[in-house]
Parts: sequence; structure tokens; C-alpha cells
Amino acid sequence: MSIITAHIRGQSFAFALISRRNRHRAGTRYFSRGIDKDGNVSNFVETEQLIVYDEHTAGGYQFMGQHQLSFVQTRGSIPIFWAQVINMRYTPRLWMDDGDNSVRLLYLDYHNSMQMTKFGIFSVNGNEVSF
Amino acid sequence: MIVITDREVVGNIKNAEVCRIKSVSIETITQQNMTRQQQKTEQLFLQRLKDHFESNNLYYSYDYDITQSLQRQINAPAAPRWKKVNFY
Repeated sequence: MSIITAHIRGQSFAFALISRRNRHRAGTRYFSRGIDKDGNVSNFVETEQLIVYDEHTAGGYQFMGQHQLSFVQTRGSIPIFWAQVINMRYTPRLWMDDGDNSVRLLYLDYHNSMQMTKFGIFSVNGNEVSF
Repeated sequence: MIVITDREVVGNIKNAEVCRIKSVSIETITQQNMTRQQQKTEQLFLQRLKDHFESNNLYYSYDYDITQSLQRQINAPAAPRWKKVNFY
């Protein structure tokens, strides 16, 4: 949570960053990974960028909210069943479930449609991982 | 019962103060007749709980719902506050 007063070209506004952790499937990074049978993904966080400003900048630092803008980003573990078994190596051994792709697609679909319901239109950014 | 005993204001959103919890006090209703060992474990758990609240940057606000994004706040149907808040 961070709330500051910022200025762009003389216009001041309140800028807030709020992160909300999902209580489902929490856990430290190496111990909780991937998706569960309810479609919840590990370490899921929603971060909101909030901007509030008024027409007239009469000074002072309370913005009453004539203009309110919000942008939400979410982040979670890749929605497949996987884990990394801790060992002493630099890169722990990767484990994935034995199921076939149709099951994986099913859970991926379920997770994605849950996201659509909760958040509306979204775009997905992926991270390249090489094994 | 857990009571917030100290906080710092981290800012204002739409004229509503947002505060971070700095310290809490845990009021317990303990049973009588606990063995020494049980009392020790109880104290250990209570201290852990207290440490969690005090070191993990938990926030609250009386007048602004920080648990819901603005998108969800605007689209939410009218309901008493306790129903709208999202323990995410």
C-alpha cells in the first residue's frame, strides 16, 4: 500500500498503489505452485493503481475524487499442476503432473473464465521459462 | 479479541484515512487449569500471532473500502458494508 501526492505539469493528483493477496492457495514461493482443483492459482496478487484528482487544484492534499481512475494488474503462478522439488542444486528439479493435455486445458480454461468473471477483459503476459 | 493499539496514517484516498497497523494487543479468555506446558504453548502461539500482525504491513480504513478495486466498488449492488467488503 502506497499513497503519494504526485504532480505532472503542475497538476497534482493522489496516486495510490494497493496490492491485495489472495487467501486461496497461499504459500512461500517454492512450496506452493500452480493450480489447484478449485481453479485457484498459487500466490495470486491483485495490484491496483489508483489516481484521484479534481478539476481545480486549489492546493491542499485531499482529493475529493471528481476524477477517479483505476488500473488493475494480477499476478499468479502458471495455471498448471506443477511443483519444484527443493534440493541443493541452483535450479531445483521440476515436476509436472502426468495427466494429458485435455485435462490441463480444462483447468486452464476454468481458471481463465474465473478471471474473466472477476476482472472483465484482460490481457495475459507470460514469462518465458527454460528448463 | 485483537485490538489495534498503534497505527500510522499512510495517506488519504478520497478524504478517507488509510492506516497501517503498528501494534496490537491480544485480549484472551483463557481456560482455568492449564498445565505449565499448555500455558507455555499458549503464550508461544499468542506471541506468534502478535508478531504476524505487527510485522506484516496490514492496513485498514474506516471510510474507504481498500479491499475492493474501484471497478468492483462501482459495479457492486447496494449492500451493507460488511457484505461488500472482500476478504481476499
